[in-house]
Amino acid sequence: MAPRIGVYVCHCGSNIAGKVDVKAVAETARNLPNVVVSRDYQFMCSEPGQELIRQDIREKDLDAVVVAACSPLMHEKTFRGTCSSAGLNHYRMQMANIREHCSWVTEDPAAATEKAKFIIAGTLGKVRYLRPLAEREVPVVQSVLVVGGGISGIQAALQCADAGYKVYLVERKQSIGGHMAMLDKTFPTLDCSACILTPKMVAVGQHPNIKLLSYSEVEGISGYAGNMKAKIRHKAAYVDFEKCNGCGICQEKCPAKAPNEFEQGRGQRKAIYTLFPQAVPNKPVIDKASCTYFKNGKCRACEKLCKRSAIDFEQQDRIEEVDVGAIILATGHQVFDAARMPQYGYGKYPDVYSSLEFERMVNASGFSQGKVRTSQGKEPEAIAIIHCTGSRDQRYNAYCSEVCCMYSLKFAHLLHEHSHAKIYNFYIDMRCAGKGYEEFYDRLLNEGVRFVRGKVAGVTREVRDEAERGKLVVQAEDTLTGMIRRIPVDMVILANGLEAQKDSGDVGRLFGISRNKAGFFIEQHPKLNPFGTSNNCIFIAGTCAGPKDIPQTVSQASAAASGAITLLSRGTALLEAVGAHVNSDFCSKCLTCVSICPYQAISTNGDPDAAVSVDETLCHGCGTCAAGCPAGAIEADNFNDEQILHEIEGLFSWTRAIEKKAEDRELAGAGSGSTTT
Amino acid sequence: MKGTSRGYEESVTAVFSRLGVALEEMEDWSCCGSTSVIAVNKVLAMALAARNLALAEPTGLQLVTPCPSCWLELTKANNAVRDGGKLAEKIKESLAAGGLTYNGTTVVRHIVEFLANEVGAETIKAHVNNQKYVGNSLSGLRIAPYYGCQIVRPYSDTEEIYNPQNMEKLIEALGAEVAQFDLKTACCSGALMATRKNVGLDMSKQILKNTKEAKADIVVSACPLCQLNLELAQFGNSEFSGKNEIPVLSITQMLGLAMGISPRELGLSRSILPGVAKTITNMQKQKAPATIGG
Repeated sequence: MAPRIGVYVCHCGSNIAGKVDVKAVAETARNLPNVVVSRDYQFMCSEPGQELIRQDIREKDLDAVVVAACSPLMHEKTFRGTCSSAGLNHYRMQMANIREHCSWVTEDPAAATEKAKFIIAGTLGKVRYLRPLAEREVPVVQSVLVVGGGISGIQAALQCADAGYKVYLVERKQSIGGHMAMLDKTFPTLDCSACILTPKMVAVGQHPNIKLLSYSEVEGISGYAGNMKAKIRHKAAYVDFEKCNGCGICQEKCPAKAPNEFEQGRGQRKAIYTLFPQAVPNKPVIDKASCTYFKNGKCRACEKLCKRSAIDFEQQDRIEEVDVGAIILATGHQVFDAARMPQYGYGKYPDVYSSLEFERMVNASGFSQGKVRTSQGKEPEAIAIIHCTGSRDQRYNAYCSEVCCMYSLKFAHLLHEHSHAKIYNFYIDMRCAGKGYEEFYDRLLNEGVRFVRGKVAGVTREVRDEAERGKLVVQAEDTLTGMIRRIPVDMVILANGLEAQKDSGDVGRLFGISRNKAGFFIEQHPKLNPFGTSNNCIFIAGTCAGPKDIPQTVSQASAAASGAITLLSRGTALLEAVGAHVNSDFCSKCLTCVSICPYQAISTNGDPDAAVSVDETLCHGCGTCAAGCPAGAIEADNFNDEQILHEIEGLFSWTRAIEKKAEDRELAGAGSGSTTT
Repeated sequence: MKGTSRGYEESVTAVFSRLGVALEEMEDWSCCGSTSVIAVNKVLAMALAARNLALAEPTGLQLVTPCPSCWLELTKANNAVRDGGKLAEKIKESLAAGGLTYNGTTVVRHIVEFLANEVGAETIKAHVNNQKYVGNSLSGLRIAPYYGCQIVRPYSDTEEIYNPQNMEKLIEALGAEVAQFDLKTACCSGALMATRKNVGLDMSKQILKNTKEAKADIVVSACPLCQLNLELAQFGNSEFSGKNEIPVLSITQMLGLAMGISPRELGLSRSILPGVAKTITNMQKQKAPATIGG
């Protein structure tokens, strides 16, 4: 029996109809083989539009539907629902993208109309051969994995745990807290960062539903929707966290020192150390590289002094596997390394500080106990803050790091509190969009901070006049006065931009999440699902998805948590019905597919003589194996050779079909002419 | 090089022949377009530069240029052709009109990079040590390596753009001291000296002052125009006359002196500042007792 197909051409307001002659396209489609009905409508996705489709399915007994509208990423779900609610298997619905692939990208209306016809003809070729498929429901494991223990990971973990779900919070450092723990104050309210963060850290440490896995990293993810297995490596800390009560005697007595990473290398810490006094968990780890015992085989002072015998020099890395239903990635950012911009003198002149160095300098528990002093120990007379270090610069990071304008204002304010210096802010544009942000800028203008609008060209010690001797000279074009400025200062603070963690590529591959050009994780939809990802069981939160400030980070973390909670509370997840199938007669056991499958879904089940087989629960239907199989033994549902060849055939047959119709009409016209005469 | 910088040209020829590197002057070379043509017509500028690349291509030889501006324009044109965009098409069209084709294979190198990486400090050290005539040895003198802007920005494949090291390698090979100074990659003002003399002069003077603060005896330049500007800034200027005069040598004049080539052959007499060779000899004499004694 010939298939009965309905074609629905959407105007999408003027998005499609502004370029494509939708009436002509619907008319053309009507004349193509097997098309029973072809309609155009202003908004096919609207309720009346969907009702048109439902009615036709019922009344005209359609067994396949083509919706010529936007990208399937936008509305495939909508129209799948439309079809299934009218009793048509929704895998027999195919979208023809005449918006993103046609009207939006074609200048000439006539050409766009022709192109739309081609796209529909191709889709019609394929839709005839689509098979009805059924998704399967699987139960979702009732626990969440949160990766990263900065403010976003903390927020997400607490929210999921409060909702009653088991949470595994993995943090690679020995304490949670992330960058926020290093900050002195937060803009624009000037709250003490640690004071607002530590209660949340403590809550994480004490929450009965949260298992905090610090000094650990996720090494592998396997499984399928709602049923994932995470392999977690607990790095050897050489301290038994069960026994350690965090008394701190080991840290106090340890003779070996190393640069303190929490203080940005400006201070010192011991070889056995906690990151900072309020660390959660408050357990030290031994840094093998600086420990006297590990270097020389002698010392073991910590072991002798520990009353709880918690030191264990023989400790090895330990692997733990946990089952989780949802994952929240909150892996954060790193700050731009200003040494990449040698013109600003970072690393060359000791009085050029990075943003985090300044946060620690001005913090009462930081390396200089909150005193602002030059490397010579003097109180600075003038200080420059250089905005956009590494940001908004084609040579480094082209994007705006979003937080630097505001934290630079905060720096200026803190400098007023901590010194008598003249303060210069060199900026490109002031970007103070946020609640109370512009007001904060206004406040700083009134506090007497000097603002110079111009990107700094360089920081130099080259002397032009006596006022510059012994100073750092900041050179910039003041674009408001059109003059070159040379301002001698005693201290320079850089507003380092935010960038993706250097191993974000590895993390992305591990979890199967794509990244943008700058290395940040890509959201499922930039506007409407900015916390979801292409995998509906994995969510993203915080600066791993792009630069953002603390309120935005917390909001996104809560959104990601609610995404995970929704998934878990529903209790089941749908497994995509599209999968790959192996024709074992053709399989030569070359195992190409096994090596290229991104989901480890293909195996020989341990039998080297058997053909490969696909684990349907693990398969995502991506089709990589089907494309890679040299024997053509693997077929992906709804992307098989028959369907694709008929799609191509559809494209080419369209011209032929139209020509034939025209001929038929001519013949019929000639015939009818003869009868009237 | 044939006009205002004959001294540079003569020294390049002399030094390369001693080093045993055969230089072949390109037949029918044309102006690279420098900074002026590109300001008026980009395609014309790129085509002018690419013409030289096209002429060099069939020879299979590397194109070494002593001038940073030429190097920059040739590199820019090379990149444009290799990128293969619309500009590349237009360049190829222009070349075709003159009966030329260019496939983007010519290798363009600046003389400083060539000397530092291809010839190498070791070879130069060997030449310096082997020479019999040591009258102009530069060992013990402080030499300020002045790169200027064009060989490091925006293109710099081998060098850190604000802290290049190729010249330092060559200076050290001569047994001389490097006088590090902040403005070593600053602009000398280029052609601004001709159009906005007050601005241009100031820029060049700042560089000279900075080299003096670094206690440099000599400034060495990698560019004919830089050398000219830095000399002009001193000429007739009481700040830089007599004892305060600071000789400005081209990279090959510096190497040549250390390799024992006569100042005359190196075109030193063509310098704008009078008696450069003598000034350097005097400096050397002053330093010599200390060197020997030490």
